[in-house]
Amino acid sequence: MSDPAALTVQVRDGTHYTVVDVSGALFSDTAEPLRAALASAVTAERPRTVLDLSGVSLMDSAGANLMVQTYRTVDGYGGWLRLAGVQPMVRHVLEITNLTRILPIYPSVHDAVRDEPPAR
Amino acid sequence: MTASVARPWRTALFGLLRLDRFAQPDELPMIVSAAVAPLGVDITIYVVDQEQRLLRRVPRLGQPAGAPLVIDTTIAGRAFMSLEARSIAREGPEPARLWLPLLDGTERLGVLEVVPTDPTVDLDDPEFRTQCGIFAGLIGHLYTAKVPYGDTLVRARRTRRMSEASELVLQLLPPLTYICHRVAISAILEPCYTVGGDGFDYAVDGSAAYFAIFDSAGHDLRSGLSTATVLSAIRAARRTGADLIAMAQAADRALAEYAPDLRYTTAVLGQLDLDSGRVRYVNAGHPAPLVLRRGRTVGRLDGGRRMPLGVEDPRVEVGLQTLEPGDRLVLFSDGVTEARGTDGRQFGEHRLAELVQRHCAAGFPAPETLRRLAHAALAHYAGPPDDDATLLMLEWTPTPLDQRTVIS
Repeated sequence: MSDPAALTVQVRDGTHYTVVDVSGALFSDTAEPLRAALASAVTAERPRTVLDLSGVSLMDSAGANLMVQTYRTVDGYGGWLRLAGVQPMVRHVLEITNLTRILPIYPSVHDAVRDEPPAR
Repeated sequence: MTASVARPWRTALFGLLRLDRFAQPDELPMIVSAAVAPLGVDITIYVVDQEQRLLRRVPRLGQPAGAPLVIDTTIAGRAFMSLEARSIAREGPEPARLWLPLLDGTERLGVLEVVPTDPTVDLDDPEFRTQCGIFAGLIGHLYTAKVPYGDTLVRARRTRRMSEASELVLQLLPPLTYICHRVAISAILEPCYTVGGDGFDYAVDGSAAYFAIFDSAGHDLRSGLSTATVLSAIRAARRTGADLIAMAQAADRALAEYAPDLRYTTAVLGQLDLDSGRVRYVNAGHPAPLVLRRGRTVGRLDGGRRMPLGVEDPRVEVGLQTLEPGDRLVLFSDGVTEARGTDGRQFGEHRLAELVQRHCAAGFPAPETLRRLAHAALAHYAGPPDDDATLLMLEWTPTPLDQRTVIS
């Protein structure tokens, strides 16, 4: 069994967006792998990012803060950051902080990228 | 209250003021003792430790501090909790003694131990109690005035090293308690030796009582720096007449400009009109404060929503709530309600409201109610607390306060 506190992160390239799969508990002391992955995956060329959080059951404010930092970066590049598969406890943090105003939540990665034009 | 000061006590008051001017902080216990010596009594100062569990003697020069007194189990502690004088009769070799609450205005500092050196002094004489109470008020003011000039009085309250973030944040906060004619405000912040990003603020001017609670993401010096930045930006804006929305925007700008890599801060900023009971507030991503009326939760400050400070939000309006006389607002950080017990269950808003109700009904002064609430929330943690827990309670009392339930 893997350490339930550890965070595993996988980056997949979609046609015109990047999907970052996260699973584990997203806390201040576990967030480093996600921070590192986002730092290299989010670029001016690929500023459209979906965070697949279906494997994240718990998150603290440091996790939400990382998403805000990422939002600032993608927004600066004219892209977006969308969240998919958000679990109840994580949704709770995002709703209390009203951060869903800049971090839209979609049921799935598929829904998150549906309205985007296909890459040419 | 207009008690006249009897001549010997007046001499002691003047004597203390004269000795105080050039005294170092560590000399305060001696000059207090010297000033009251002609009255046939000796006074020893005890201050409450940072966690508000112990009363610690402020040592006289060259003397040991001695064992601290546990608040929950001693007569001295009872005087501290109830803010009422308590006396103990002479017992064998132990002299009679009087424990008096030590306050700076309405801020609880600790207790004074009064022991007669002249056997004819009657500690239970009402006149003696009154005079002694006035003198204690002066000691409380002088104590607070002396603190900044050295480390002795600061160290007297501590049992261990304080983290850098705690040193930073605690220094910025107003006193834990302020009670004036129409409002009572009391706050507590735990774990005080390792505060991360929690903080609170208040200011009462004219008919406006401003209040705020802050929680910066994370639990280290960086969180503390975020809170310090936010608090300073808001004060600068407030002191030049900014409204709530502009205060929040000042915090956004300060974080963006000086500290873009710092963390965001959730907060509630509010203003209570002391004439009408109307509360205007902005809630920047913080748990909604509770409105308690006669011990029951009758509402929450869940309007006025915007994103946390540091995340600019054009969509913000001011929330409104009207209080009835005697209503209490309870502001808290998520470290209070999300404390997880051994059963994995959270402390929860419901339990918080229930405890506020129970402790308020018990008739304790406001700061004592909060001390008990904070300890109850901390006790709920299965291990060491992993988040700051801050509580701020505000009571609107447009008619003169019930003296007994607020302060003696």
